[in-house]
Amino acid sequence: MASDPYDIKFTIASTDYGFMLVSPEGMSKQLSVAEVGVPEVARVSNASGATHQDFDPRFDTPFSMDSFDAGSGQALFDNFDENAVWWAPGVVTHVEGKAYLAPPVSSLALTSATTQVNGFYTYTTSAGARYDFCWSGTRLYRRDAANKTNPWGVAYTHASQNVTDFTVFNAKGVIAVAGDTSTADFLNVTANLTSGTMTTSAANHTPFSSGTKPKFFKAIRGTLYALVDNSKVFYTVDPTIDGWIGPIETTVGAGDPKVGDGTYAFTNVVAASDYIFTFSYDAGYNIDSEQNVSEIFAQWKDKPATTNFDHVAVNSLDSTLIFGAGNEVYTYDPQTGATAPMGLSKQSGFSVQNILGVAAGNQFAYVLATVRVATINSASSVALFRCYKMRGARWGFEVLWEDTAVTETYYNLAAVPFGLGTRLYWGQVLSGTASINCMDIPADWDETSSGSYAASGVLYTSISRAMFPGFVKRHLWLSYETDGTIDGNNYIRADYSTNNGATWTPLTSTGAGSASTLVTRGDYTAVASRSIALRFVFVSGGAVTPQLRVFDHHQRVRFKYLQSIMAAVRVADGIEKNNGARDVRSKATLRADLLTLRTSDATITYTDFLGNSFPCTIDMVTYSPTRHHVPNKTLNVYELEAQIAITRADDGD
Amino acid sequence: MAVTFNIPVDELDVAQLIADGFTSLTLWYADEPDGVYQDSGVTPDPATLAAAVTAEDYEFEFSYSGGSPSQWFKVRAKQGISYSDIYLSSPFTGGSGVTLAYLRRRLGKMLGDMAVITTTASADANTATCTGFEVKRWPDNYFNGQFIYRPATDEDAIIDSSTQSTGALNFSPDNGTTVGSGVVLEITKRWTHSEYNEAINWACVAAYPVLSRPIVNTGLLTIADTMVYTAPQDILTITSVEIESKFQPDSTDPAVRGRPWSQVPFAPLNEGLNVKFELNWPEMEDQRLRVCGTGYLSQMAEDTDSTECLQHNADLLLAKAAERLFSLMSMNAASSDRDFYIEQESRFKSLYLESKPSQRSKRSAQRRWGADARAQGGGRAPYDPRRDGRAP
Repeated sequence: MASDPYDIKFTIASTDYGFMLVSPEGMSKQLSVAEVGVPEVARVSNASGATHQDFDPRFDTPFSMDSFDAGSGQALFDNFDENAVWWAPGVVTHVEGKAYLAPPVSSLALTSATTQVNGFYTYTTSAGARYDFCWSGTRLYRRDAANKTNPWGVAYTHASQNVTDFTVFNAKGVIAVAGDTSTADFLNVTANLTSGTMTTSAANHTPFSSGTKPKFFKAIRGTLYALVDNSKVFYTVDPTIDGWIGPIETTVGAGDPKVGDGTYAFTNVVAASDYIFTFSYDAGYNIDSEQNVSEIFAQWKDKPATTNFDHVAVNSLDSTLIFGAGNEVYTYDPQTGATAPMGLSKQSGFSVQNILGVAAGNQFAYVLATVRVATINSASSVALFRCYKMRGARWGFEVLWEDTAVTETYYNLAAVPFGLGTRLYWGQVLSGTASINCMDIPADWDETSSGSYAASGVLYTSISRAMFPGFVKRHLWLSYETDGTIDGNNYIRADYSTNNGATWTPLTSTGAGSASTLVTRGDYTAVASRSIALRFVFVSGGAVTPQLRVFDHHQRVRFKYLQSIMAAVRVADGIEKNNGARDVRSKATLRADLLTLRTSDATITYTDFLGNSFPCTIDMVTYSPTRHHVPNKTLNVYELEAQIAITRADDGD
Repeated sequence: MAVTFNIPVDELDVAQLIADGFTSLTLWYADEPDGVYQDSGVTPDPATLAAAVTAEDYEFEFSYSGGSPSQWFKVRAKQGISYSDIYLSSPFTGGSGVTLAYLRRRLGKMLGDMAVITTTASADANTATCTGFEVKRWPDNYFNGQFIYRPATDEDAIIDSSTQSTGALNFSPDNGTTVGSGVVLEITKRWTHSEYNEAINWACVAAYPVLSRPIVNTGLLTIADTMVYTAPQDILTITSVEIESKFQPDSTDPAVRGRPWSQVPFAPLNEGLNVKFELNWPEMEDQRLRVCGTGYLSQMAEDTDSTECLQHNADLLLAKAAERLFSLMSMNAASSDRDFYIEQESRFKSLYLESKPSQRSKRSAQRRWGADARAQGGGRAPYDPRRDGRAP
């Protein structure tokens, strides 16, 4: 035995301290091996989501969700929002009590387009016909937006320069080509606005005779504003005639008020709540109806970047501005002047690397971004977020679409009306060919009756941890309630991961399904781990969406085996050891050894004749004399008996 | 020291051995009765079984010049390179009983206290290496605190650590020389080899008269008109006094002169530590007296010293020694260990008492000068060959 020739032995560094246990007549060695008690469950974790059930080995720890409306972005389950998930690409989660597949995505070609789509525009005729426009390179494209399938056609092509903006003002198109070096300052569409190749008339107007041409147009209050790099804003009520007023200067010293900076070119312009907002790499300006300019976004003055204000949209629901800066999306309320980040970049479940597009519809904001979902994805992906306001200032994010094998270059996102719903366009370039992705989003808050869904989606739950690395939980079973899992083509499969999402193992599936609400159960076989995450794979035939309503996973904590030992050891002269030899240590030495052990801060290794061996602490040493009746002997009638409390001091077995 | 044995074999047994293909008898020896016996290589006389038949001499004489009375012997028949089974031959002593080393180790085994090991590799002056199972059966540090004794150099040490995998035993203090391979060592748990020896020698005395050394002394001569004689000093108890006859008084052959001895009545007189005896035989003069008695078993100092025990009463002696060891152990033990020691002391005391009637030393009945003899006014007692010390 490891403690030879003693019953128990302690070792500090290489020094052994052996002891013999008390063995009263007719009794066994006085050694009691128990377990360290279960900790006070109220104190075992400071996790806000932890309950006593998490750490009571007699009860299952439920890991359950009946709503997913806090959306994606939460890597760990217990600490934050019980309705949030880690990542759910292609799955809609904003509806309380259910998760289902997102609408499908289709792609439309852009004839002859080879570079990124630089902008979108939508126009509804007085007759109610809708036309959507986008521009890529020298071409302006147009499609009849009556459906999702009408192709994009080339409506206008400039001879050499890129189209920088297009808008319709007073039912007439205006095309900006800022790089045009000819006398054409911009182009008025005089015919074929909605069909065929546009007929244009080159404008040669006085304000632009210096050579700097309008880059962007924005119409508001019956007035068309033209932005001319780097700081001039002209306006007119009829762009077909040379009647421009201005400029409104956003440059310091060039007019009143002197607030702006002319270092950087304009990057964007929007109109919201009776204001014109212009943007450059370092700031954003508000131009009111009195042509007063105020610098409302000054936070980036010392941080100019091409990613600042690259994408701007107006949320129709509350007239807030939404814009990307760096890897975050911000909202700005013109009424209160409050600017706040959406929180997209501060998610534990994913990281935003680059904002590729921002858009807003009547109900939601949308963000196209390059993201990295660590562990789940091995590389960066491009995701289309649908963002919705939650309680307080929080935003929820659901991932309508994700490209996990990115070979394309995605850029620009637009949300245009589609009936009462919203149509999303986002551009891509693959191998020198540009195209437009399109997703039609119903106006229904709950879209499960829309009848058109993506073929698949995956919902990764947050990771439910055992909280302490030394703990494991044994996983028992999982059940989940579904609707729409009607057959083998419309099902939800449940997988699990015990390594933080690195690998996944199928557990069970709704299989052949049922037309009714279905409860599916899967039992784990010998699965124990420090954490678990679940993955629900939604598969649809396209017309029906499987809906996940509730799942409950049951696990039970397994505490590490930590021995707590009470030992009574002999303290006397000449004690006989297990091998018959007598201990040369005196009673005083044994007492001193016990004191050394009790007060040592070093690592103490405990071994005993039972085979136990582990680091320990000596928590208590008490003494009591014991009398041994020995006839005709007068010496050493008394011994000391020391009671030692020993507790294992490592992570246990 | 040479030893000589005359081994008489029944002629019928000789004929059977010849019929079984054996050709001669051989003498085997060992240091201990249960030790490993080796062929002494001595050629007996007669040299072969066939020669014995031819000469009709069936008493085989083995003269082993390299032997010792403290050794033990067996006789085995030889057939070419084969021998009769060793268990067919009973061991017999060379004449001086059992040695101290044998008794100590037998006592160690009796107590479960001793392991006798032979090293299997050379180590250093504070390490002995033995890969034998008696060492490697035990886990690391099992031997810590036990005593290790090297008989060849009479060195004691205490084991500090032991390693199961290598069979290494580290001890202190160092021996004077490196512990080579093939060194016999005694490992004891509770007692040192000195304590063993002391206990055995103590038992040699304490067991008297249950265990005793028989003494025959023929040195005293009768003196005219003298009736009281002082017994030889080594005799503690006189069992018989005999007087030689007048037969061939000039012979120098002890097997002839004065025989047969005649037993005479005597009365022992203990005067202080002197043992005397009184004879009622005043007319004798210059006749040898044969005084038979008993004394303590011989005590031993060296491992090769021996005492007058055979195997069976060696256990009786050792039971006494074991009782002694546990008795001493309980004197200064930690109090709660004493129960065990006292229990063991009692156990061996009981063993001694139980075995005493059957294993005690052979001892002649004592004939004293009683009232009847005195009434007869003297005279020789009838000759009784059983009393001359030669008959079994």
